[in-house]
Amino acid sequence: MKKIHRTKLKWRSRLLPGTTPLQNIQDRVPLKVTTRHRLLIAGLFCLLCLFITIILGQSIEPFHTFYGSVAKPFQNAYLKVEDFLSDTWATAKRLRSLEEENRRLTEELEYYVYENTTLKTEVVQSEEIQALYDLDHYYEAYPKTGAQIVGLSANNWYETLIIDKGSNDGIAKDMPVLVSGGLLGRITHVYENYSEITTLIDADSNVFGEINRLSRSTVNVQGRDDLEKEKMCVIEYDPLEVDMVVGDEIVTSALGDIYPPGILIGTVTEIVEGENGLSNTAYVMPKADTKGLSYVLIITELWKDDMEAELEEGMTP
Amino acid sequence: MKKLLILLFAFVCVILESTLFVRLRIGGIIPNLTLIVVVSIALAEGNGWGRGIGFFMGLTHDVLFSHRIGYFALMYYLLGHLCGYGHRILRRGNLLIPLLLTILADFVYGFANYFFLAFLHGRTDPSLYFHQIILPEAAYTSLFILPIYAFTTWAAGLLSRIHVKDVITHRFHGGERIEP
Repeated sequence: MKKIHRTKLKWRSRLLPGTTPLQNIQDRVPLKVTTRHRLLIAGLFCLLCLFITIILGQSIEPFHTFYGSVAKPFQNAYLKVEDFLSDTWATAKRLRSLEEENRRLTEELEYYVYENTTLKTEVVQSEEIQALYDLDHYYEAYPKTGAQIVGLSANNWYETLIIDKGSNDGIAKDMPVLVSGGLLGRITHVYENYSEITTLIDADSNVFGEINRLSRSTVNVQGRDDLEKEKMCVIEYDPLEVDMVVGDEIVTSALGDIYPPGILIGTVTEIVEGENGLSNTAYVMPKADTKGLSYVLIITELWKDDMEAELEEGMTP
Repeated sequence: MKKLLILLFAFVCVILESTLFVRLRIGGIIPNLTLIVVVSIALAEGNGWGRGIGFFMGLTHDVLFSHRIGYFALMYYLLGHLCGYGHRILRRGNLLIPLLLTILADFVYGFANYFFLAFLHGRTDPSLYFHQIILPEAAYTSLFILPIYAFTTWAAGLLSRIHVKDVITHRFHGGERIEP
């Protein structure tokens, strides 16, 4: 009995000095917060945050709103400085050729104004042809908004982009993001003042794609799972079922839940035949150019909503 | 005053890392400014400051650039604490220990990241991650260590010696002052 009592005292007096059961009131000792306590508290706080964000999958909104609003002025200030510097640099470089270009452009403008009047008559014809190729330009009808990239993940371990529009600007999760005419990725996390984009080449990314030829077979475009082929997407497919050659364009398929159909993903650059002839691996170079990335285009309508609306429309006679 | 300014400096560094340093990418690798600042401050000020700045910068990094909050906070917290032990053995003007310690911390950071962000996700190929990410990051970071370390120690020392009351009453190098 005495032994158990002593060991209890031992660990309590080590962890929380000053809280052991007292013999006299004069033996009171103030609690000293030591390094061990700080480590414990910080560790528990971080584990709690990790638990909430990973296992429960919730985002801790107050943090994001606070940091987002505090960081915004700094990011805007930096972007203004960068824009100013690159503008002055570009102007300085082109100073000589600017006057000549101006002259040339005014001449061209006169010609094009004339051509515009003649072309207006041909617009009606081309609209009918456009309707036939609906699928290829399906997404042109979607509402789009532009946003600026304020930061790439300051990390060498994952590929996320931060843009300066958030839920306050009408952005929602899973909206597709385009750049230079190709698919860049989708919005994965939305906070009040900013949002996070996961790019196509992120290892966890999966897109249902289609080969843009008559065969129209569906393939699964994945982000790279090894680092040897940088900035490329990977398709693993069965050569007996899917007919793919180098140079094929891959567009988004209508079968997926997230992306509207017809958005260009990229071009197949290399096909590696698998052993046993069972599955080939194709490497796709994405159309979206991630170098010098500044402005992106976000489609502000969710494909899921549109699909349901279309189905309903199809049902009513 | 010192706390406020150093926290502001740390915050600006995190923002700078995602805007300026991203433009200086070589092969997709950016130098790890957060790590440099945390180690510099831990060496200049000790364990407590290392922990505080590490936690703050890690949390800012997490909240702004990731949806898994708490990971980098804990990581830089521990790194700051461990590098704070170097404060006692550092001599003034010594540039070798900060350099080696930051590179060592970068490797530890890299391996921990590899374990939690890649290995546990099923992507087990340590040599690939080592050659493509960990080693280049340590190399590129080492270019920026010394200037930033020199600046941080100078600034921290200056802030320790300046007292706001003295500035207001315009009294320097005079009067009896008992160092806290």
